[in-house]
Amino acid sequence: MDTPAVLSHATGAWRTREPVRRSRAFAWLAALLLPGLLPGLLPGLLNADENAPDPPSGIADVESYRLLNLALMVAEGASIAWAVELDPAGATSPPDRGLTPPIDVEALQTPLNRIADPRQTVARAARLFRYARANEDGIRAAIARFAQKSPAAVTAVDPARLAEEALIIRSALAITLEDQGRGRDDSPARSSWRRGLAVYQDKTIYLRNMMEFWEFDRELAAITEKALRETGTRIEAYQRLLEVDPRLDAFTQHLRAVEYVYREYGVPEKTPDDPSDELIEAASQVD
Amino acid sequence: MLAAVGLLNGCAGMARGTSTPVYRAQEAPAPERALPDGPEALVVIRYPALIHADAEHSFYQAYGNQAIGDPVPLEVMLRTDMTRVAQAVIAKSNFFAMSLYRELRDTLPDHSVLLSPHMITWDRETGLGSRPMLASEQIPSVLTIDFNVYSYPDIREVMDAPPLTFGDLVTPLIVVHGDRWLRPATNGLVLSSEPLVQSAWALSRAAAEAERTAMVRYPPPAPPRSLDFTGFLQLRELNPVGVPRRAPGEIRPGEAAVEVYPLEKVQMDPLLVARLDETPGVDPFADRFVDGAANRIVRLLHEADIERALFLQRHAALLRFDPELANVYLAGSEDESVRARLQLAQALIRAEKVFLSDQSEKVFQGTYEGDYGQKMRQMIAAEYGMLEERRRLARIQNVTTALTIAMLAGSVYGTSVSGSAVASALQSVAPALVLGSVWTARSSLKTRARSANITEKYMALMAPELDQQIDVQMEWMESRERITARGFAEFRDKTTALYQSRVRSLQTTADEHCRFSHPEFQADGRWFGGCEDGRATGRGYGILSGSDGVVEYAGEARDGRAHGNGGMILVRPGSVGAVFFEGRFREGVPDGVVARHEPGQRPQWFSYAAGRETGRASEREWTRPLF
Repeated sequence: MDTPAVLSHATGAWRTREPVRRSRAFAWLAALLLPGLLPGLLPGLLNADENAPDPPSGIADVESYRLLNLALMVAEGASIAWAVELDPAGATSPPDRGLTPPIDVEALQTPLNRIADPRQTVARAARLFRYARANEDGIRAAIARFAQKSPAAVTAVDPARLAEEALIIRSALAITLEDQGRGRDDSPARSSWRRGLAVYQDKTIYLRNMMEFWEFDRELAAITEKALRETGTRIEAYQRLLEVDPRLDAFTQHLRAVEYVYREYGVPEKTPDDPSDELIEAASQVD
Repeated sequence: MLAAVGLLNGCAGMARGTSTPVYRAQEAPAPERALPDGPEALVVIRYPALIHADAEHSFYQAYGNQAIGDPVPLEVMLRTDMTRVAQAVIAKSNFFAMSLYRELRDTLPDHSVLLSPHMITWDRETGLGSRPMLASEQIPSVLTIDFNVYSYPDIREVMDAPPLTFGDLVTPLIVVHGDRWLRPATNGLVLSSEPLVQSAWALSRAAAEAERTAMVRYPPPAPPRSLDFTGFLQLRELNPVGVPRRAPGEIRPGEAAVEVYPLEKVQMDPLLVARLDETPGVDPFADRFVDGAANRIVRLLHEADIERALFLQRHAALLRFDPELANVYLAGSEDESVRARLQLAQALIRAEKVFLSDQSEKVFQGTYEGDYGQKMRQMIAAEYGMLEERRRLARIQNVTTALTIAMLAGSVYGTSVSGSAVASALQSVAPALVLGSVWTARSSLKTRARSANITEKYMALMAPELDQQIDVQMEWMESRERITARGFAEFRDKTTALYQSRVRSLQTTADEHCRFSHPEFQADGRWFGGCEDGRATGRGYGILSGSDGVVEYAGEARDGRAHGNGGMILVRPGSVGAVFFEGRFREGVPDGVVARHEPGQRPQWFSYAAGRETGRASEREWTRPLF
């Protein structure tokens, strides 16, 4: 049980009716979290972007690394087209570039902001989505490189905590967007907007479930390892039990009888460790 | 005394076996592509490990009555040596099964091979049977291998033709089976040793019927299948049926026939056997038989439709700890709540598999590498020495000496040869030869005795370690300590509690009382899966059983009938095996390109229109259903 849960389950998942969807989902989570947060466990993925173009610059510190991961998590499931629909005015300017994500965690997590200025919240989200999508490859490459160069630093980032943070933001955004969409007409544009929201919400639930699964799998592994250790003790007990002298049985009585016959006809001298001396008396009583 | 008479007549057998068994490692290597590393097992190896005290008498009696080869004379049945032969078979099955385990364990993905030692039992109502001592068979598995070795009950025949496991000779008996959906036309029976074919067929059919009944009377689980060897001993008055067969080792993927492995007395490399007790790393059985047999098993795994073989077993595994999810699983729901809960359930089953795989490994270490294994090696090497001596004697036609040894060998198993009879025999041979021969035998006898005691010890002491059902109190380390192997039960309690504390509610449900029907059957059946207006609609599994036979279906349905892509098993009364259709259905009958699997044949592809065959089709036109 020392394999990361996502890996072990990704390879052995039971078939679903949507295998593509599932495999993509696993790839998403693995690519998002594992290269950075579990260094050394996924060499294939870590090296996957070796040939990718270098990002504009490297990640400066572990906090930037954390924010970039968070940005990808929050933006997962949001397409550029949907981001444009969310904030058409903001889309007139090009998406942000570089390795400093336009993410104001506090602003996105504060309920008052959602209530007081939902348009601003949505605009912030749209900007973040456009940034994440437009720079995705570069961000992933930078995350992988940082994890490779500073494995000790990335261990300071708790993936479960990060995912919790992302879930709070995603849920807050989804509520805001739901409120925004309430009472709107059923035009094709609005339908597309709602479909985008549904995809985003599905991804949020998926992320939540995966995070719960990770926690479950971690506890399950601990129980399993403890149980295996205890079984080991029991097997040792079994080995000791085998060292106890066996008791004699009827089978041995027959052996004694044969030995007795041998002796009548001049069997060679006994050696000190030969047990048959002790058997002769009993053997004489066996026909 | 038949062997002795034979010797006196100067026609002593040489106790030879084949050094070129049917399954040879160098032939037809298994494909190199990897087998899936899922939460389930690929192989479970079952073998007789212990005899329950209540079953001893029945087992020994059945062992004599159902001898493979000639009927056993009545006087042999009454002697204690026959019981020793039967005990030796159990002890050696333990040992040689480990060889097969090791080979498969080293070949297949980690934790995918589990051991399932069985205790032979007896019940007033059901007679001789067996029950597993570990929970390995509760883990879904693609193949189940029943393995044991065999010796003809009359030890006096040791130098002649009967099957024997003694010294350098091993007579393996194997049956390979799986879930009925693995190979529907043969009720899941894949391979069987020749003498066991009829009983294995009957057991597979009975298991399939019991499991179908369990699904109809949902949810009681079907009773577990006893070892095929005890089934063979139990099913004496069996009316033979025309079991569809195929030759061993043939590469004919998909052929719905039972591969029949002939009864072989495998002769291991004498040089390796002679040094067996000095070189524990050497495995002459693997060299001669196991490598090839394991290779065949791997091939069978590659031939199998693993998803089809496992889907109902998964359902059964889920049913144990999450019945709600089990039903929804058959419906193939795409809902995220189902996916997430299935992921937790898979992790749970995988953890159980890992735990049981670890137990299997420890059983292997204890049985094969530990004290027990070493004593078994000593015993086999000593047996070989004795057998070689007898062969030598037979070769030089020293009939009288050979007779003496034969009688002494009989005594190894506690024969009722009297001291005076042996003395009389000894009087008539040259003293030097007697001494040499007798001391060879004596040495063997002593080793044999030690080994037999180890066998007994193993039987008495291994039981509490393995069997979580039995609570045996025993002396240990100067104190009375209650040692039970309830480890797995404790483990399962903890993991199930964790699972139950973490699962979220499902956003979808599956109706257990949905109607499933077939146009050719009057009775309605039961459907587990998508349901509309009380009738099967969507994905799922359906079963109906009546006087017309049995229909099982897994796949897409509409208005209560098979409709879409799926697989259907059709069992008609009195038929041998079943017919399996795989492909497109419409209103309950094949419609489109369908693969038809019939007993004794390879799958054939046909075009159907409204249930009627309209011509041959090719596999390329066919869409394999998902299970």
